[in-house]
Amino acid sequence: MIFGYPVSEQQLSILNLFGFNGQISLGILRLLSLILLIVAIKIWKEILSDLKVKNIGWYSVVTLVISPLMLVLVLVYPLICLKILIFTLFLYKGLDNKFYLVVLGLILILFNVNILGNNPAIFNKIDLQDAQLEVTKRISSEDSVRNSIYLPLTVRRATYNKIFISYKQIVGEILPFFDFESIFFAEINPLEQKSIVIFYWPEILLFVLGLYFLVNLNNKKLNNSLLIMIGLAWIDFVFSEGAVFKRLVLVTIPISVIISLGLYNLYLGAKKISLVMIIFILFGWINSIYDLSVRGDYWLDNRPLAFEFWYKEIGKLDLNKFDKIQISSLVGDAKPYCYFYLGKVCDNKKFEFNSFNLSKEKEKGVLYAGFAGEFVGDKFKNDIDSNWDKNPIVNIIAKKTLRDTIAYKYGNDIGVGIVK
Amino acid sequence: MKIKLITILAILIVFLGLVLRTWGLDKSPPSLGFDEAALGYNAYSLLKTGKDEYGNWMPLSLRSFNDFKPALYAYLTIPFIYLFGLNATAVRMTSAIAGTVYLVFLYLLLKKYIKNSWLCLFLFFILSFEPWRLHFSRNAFETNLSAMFFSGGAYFLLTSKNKFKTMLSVLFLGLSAYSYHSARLSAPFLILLWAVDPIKIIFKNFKFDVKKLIPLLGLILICVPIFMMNNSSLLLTRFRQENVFNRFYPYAPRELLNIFSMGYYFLGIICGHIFSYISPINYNFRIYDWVKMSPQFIPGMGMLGWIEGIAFLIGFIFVIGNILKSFKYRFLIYWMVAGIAPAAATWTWYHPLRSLNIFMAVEIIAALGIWRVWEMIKKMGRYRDLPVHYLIGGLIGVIMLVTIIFTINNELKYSAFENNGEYQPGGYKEGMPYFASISDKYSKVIIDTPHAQGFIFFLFYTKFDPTTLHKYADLRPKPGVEGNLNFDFDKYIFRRVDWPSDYKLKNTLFWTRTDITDEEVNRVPGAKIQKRIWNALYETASIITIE
Repeated sequence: MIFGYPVSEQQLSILNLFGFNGQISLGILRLLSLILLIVAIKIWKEILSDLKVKNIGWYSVVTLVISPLMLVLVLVYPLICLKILIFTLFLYKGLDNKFYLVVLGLILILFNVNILGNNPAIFNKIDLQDAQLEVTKRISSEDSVRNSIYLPLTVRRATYNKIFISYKQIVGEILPFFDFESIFFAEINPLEQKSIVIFYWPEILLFVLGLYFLVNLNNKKLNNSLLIMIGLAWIDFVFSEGAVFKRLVLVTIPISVIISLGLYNLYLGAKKISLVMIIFILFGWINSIYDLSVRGDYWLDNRPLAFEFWYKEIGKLDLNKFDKIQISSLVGDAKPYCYFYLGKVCDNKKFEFNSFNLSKEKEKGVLYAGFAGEFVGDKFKNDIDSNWDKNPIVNIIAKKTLRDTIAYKYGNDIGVGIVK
Repeated sequence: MKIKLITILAILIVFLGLVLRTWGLDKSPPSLGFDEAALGYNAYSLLKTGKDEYGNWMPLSLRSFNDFKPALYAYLTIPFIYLFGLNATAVRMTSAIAGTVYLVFLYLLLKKYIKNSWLCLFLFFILSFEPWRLHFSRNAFETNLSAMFFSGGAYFLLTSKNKFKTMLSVLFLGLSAYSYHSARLSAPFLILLWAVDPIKIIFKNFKFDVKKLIPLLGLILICVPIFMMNNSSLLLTRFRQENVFNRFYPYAPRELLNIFSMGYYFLGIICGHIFSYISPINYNFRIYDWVKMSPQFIPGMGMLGWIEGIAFLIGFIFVIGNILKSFKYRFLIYWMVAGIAPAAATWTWYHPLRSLNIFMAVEIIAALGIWRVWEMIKKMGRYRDLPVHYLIGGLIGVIMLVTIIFTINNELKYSAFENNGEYQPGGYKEGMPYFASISDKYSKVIIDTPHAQGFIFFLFYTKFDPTTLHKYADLRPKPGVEGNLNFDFDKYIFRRVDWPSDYKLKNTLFWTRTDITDEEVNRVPGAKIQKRIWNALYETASIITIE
């Protein structure tokens, strides 16, 4: 499943930029992503050699390589692979150079905003707009409570002002960086957060052990370098948006060093225990690869799966039989996917990339591809009848159930059909 | 002179803490939760009859909602009910006083770890007003009382140089076990870790003094009566309901479970439960569903202030780095491990209420983090005649002080808005006294309430005679029954009012929802809406009579 995962939006944008389509170009792009990561990891190994920390280079590299995150980055997120390469390249060139580090910080922000198209929430906090809303909400909420405790208005105003609330909101954007659940416990996340596994849970034990050895190593150069890397990863986190594993990707590099320190010293001090730890981590690795292969649709975005299904089904049909082919755009622009799967035929005026609602408006001779709710009418609680495909209006040619709800109110089923 | 001034200022902080914990207890939180009402009514019943609400004479555990609450809180509440009557102030006063005494141990312990007296005082001031301290002290939580005793026990244990202090530590930890379930595991575990010092044994030497286990035997002896009570097996009711084995939680994937992966995921869950208490985000911004849906929820904030969350991580790294250098740092880790153990054995990931015993250790670690940051800032010194270190330190200090004002405002005023609902259901305080005053005129009283265990609010706010209630103890759901424990007795019936059929009843008093309109009632001869009842925010109940 994971290796056959369809083309992602990010990959599509790159392929479209160079005018490439089809599975072969996708394969080449994935290969390029892998090369980017290999180069980044090679540079990382060089950086570690410079830091003169005995034998942990390979440990750190292996820790990173067996992370499911890296596999997913190669298969789905080429631009993030590029970001990691830029990060390691700048660290290699200028870990001791403040100017380089400032430039790297700015590049990370620009990369997130301009290339990845992120709109970080922190911008809304800095311009005080959200703060104003919260101040008004808090004061009106408190005033609506009958017989409440008296506090002088000056006391309330001391913190219910745009400056303080803005500070509170900015801190609210910064602090989630320190999220051990997302970094170490994605396999069993208590929030049912579908964040790709970054590190396996046994690695947190090595992380804590590594902290002990890090403090007692008294390697100032290493300590400073790790602090700089964590600081830059923090900037990257704050000025990004989206799934938490994508935002935390850069912090994996310094953390891998701390884990490696823990493992290496454990190996020196207690070989048997370190062996048990390695067995646990290897089990986690095998389990995780198996998990990704059988439940790829649980971990990864379901939108590309929807587009892949629609276009593969449309591709099987004789399109001359239809006056129009309408593909849903409820979960993103369907046109680039059309080029990827069907090629230039998508330039035909028969193709229309828009959402539809057959319960209100329908045309005969049109091939529709969309969500169940588009065929039978949307339902407030996503409560679409499971027999939606057996309705008198539409003849459903093919249907599929997605694991995730990606278009709320429209159900988890997708299909291709024609009006009877 | 310097020492005296600092001591006076510390006493003033404690006094301010007392004022903020006791001021307006009847207004904020605006209404009692069902556990608070149960503790209060049981204390009232003990005061009047020497028996709990079921008629058990001087019990060590209150059967209450079949959850067998440790009874110490109720006993300590009796004097306040005697002085102030059965009301919210009296019920919460025990927790408020415990929260204030707690501050004394906080200061004493801070002094052991932070040698700079003024920084120690500053940190004491900041930590005295942590969101969790205010919140848990202004609600009647047995766990707050337990945590106070636990911290006292931990303090005496850490500083024990003679038998007297060791005995005090055993006494305090024993009282902690009599106050809340989780301390029954944490308290002996802490003494065991203190006595064995496993980190030293593993990493340094295997010397171990068996005599240090004597306090553990003392604690076990003190706790024997808890387990000697008639229905001791029922003490584990709560554990049976909540333990981690009961629900393979949270999200081990069913598709992948096999004999090998089940062990891997299970160990991961246990490990996750433990390490969730060092994940800084959990102390600040992340609010889990099971926390939000309970009285422990602090709206708009986490357990700690925002800077303290990061300071905890810095302090934790410092403690780990110095763990072999001094017992006092190892003790903080032992304290956390012992405090987390009961919470880790339950199904929830991070649960402040069940792990409240650790929070003073968390604060000390955060204080060490702030101290380390201050030491780093101090090294900056002056830059071109500018005292950079004082400017940065001062700015952080001012932000922390202003955050205290926000915390106070948040707890005393804003929380009343957010927490109003299932766990702080209003309306009873406002309406029940009137309801009780007219109930004698009617032969049947029907109480319709959507809230869990609604009967306890009726008993509490009407100050229902405990002796009468005891007569009906046999009618009540048997131990082990969970869920809705409402029961009918005498002329009182707890059920949903169905007006289209109930309007036919005669000589009946209703406490019901607000969706029965004036027109519907006026249509019935002899029926009248006596009063519409408001809680802190909206109309929540109606008192209707049919003559």
